[in-house]
Amino acid sequence: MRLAVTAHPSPRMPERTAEVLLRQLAGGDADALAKFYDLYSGLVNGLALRILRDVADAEDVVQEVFVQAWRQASRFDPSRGSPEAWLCTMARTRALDRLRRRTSRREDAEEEGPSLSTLPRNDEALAVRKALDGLSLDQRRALELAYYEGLTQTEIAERLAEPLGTIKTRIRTAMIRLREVLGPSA
Amino acid sequence: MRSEDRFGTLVPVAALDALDGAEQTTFEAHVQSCPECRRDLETDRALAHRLPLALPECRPSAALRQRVLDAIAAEGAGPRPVPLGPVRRPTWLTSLVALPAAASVVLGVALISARHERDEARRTADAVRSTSESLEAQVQRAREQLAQARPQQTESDATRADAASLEQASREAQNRLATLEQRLAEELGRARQTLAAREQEASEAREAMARSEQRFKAEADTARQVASSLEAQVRAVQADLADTRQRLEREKAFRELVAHPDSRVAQLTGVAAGSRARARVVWNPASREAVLMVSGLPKAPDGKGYEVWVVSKETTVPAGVFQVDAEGSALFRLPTLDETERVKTFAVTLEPAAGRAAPSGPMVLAGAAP
Repeated sequence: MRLAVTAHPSPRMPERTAEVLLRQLAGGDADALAKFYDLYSGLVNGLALRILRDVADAEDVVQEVFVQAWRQASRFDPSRGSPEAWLCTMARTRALDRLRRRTSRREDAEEEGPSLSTLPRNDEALAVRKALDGLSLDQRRALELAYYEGLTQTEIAERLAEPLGTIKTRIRTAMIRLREVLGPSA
Repeated sequence: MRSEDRFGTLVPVAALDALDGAEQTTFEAHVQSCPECRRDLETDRALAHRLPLALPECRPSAALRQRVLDAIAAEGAGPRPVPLGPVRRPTWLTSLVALPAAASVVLGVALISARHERDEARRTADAVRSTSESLEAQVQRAREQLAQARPQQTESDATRADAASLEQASREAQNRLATLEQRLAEELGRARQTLAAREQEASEAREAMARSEQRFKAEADTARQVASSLEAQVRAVQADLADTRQRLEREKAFRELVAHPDSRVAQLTGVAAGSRARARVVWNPASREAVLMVSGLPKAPDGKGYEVWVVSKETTVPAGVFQVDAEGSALFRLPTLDETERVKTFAVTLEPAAGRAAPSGPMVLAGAAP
């Protein structure tokens, strides 16, 4: 459905390549893992950094995720989502676990997100960023608190000092909007 | 397409793992039995996991790349063995399920919030158990598939992959259980903290109660003092009232005596030279009531008093001792005496305050009965 990206100089290979690599991983091909790592370690590390805001912690997560990918490559099911989504699922779970185990959260760094001025990686990244820009600031903030901070709806309501019902509606509206704009993933 | 009921509206929130409380529990139970919600949830989850694509790419250090490749090399390539025996639920899980009950004994306090935490822990334990059971079932199914596949293509790549994935599933199950165990421990820790906080509150409440008890006691003491002072006032007023009533009765009796047609009046004058003392006795010979009114008498010296005498032809009888007020006046009611009927003279002498049987001191007033 999505075309191979040529407009941007991108390290990202076509999806098909990733799936071939995953099959090779499942077969125990360590060279394939190196390629797979080069392809996605930037994405995984970016996500882990966004959640943990700590370089060393984020790199630990990156290592765990790729080892897990190596072990579980045979379980990857292309019909259920992209390799990126698969990696992001693992990275987010591990990073949030780590975040919750931390005794003191680094609340002070909270607003210091990665710079938005960075060049998008490819069409897909551009589309997601445009879709997020189409949300209201409140909707976007609620989504980010849930996804990147791992807060529940009640915790988000407390953090933003707003009624629970408002937060629920906001998350739902934002997700429906994203669904409409982005459509089903490949 | 999307389920119409309330669960449909929970899907987007659930996709972000942002449900909590009872909503989370009921939704998770519902999803088990509703393929539609399960599919929507998967779609929304995939959507949510596209969010990080918008993040700037951030290459990790070169050293990490080597670390990852070393870790993979240490894992070893090739097929990984399938565990042979049935997948056992780790023994800690059994104790984990029993833990909340044990915890409730340990906590031993019927504090609602502690109970709530315990229920939460129990729910987590149930979730752990059901996850474990579902994983066991999955492993079992996979093993059956493996057994079927084996005769046709032994040692094929696919079988190897299945074996690897089976082993991985079991490893993953262990990991998830370990994570859940930790979460349960954290929740129990929180329950204990909550309990400690409640105990703190209770002891503060006890102190506050002790303080207000003291304050009440002090207030009660003050109130008692006020009450007793009021009582004293009341007694004083009552005494005053009794006194006034007595005086009123005396004056009434006196007025009646004066107004009575049979009453007679005797004028008494000061005996000493230059005395300004004057007195008058009103008496009724029939009833033998008699009253003495005095003015212009000096106050009797300490220990002394004025004694009245009823003098008849035969005898002189004492008729009581009186004192004058600050203005030198007195209104004195004489005792009823037989002699009053035959009185010739009324006299007043200065005597010891207790009075005497016969006059001994100087005479201060005297007057003949008309």
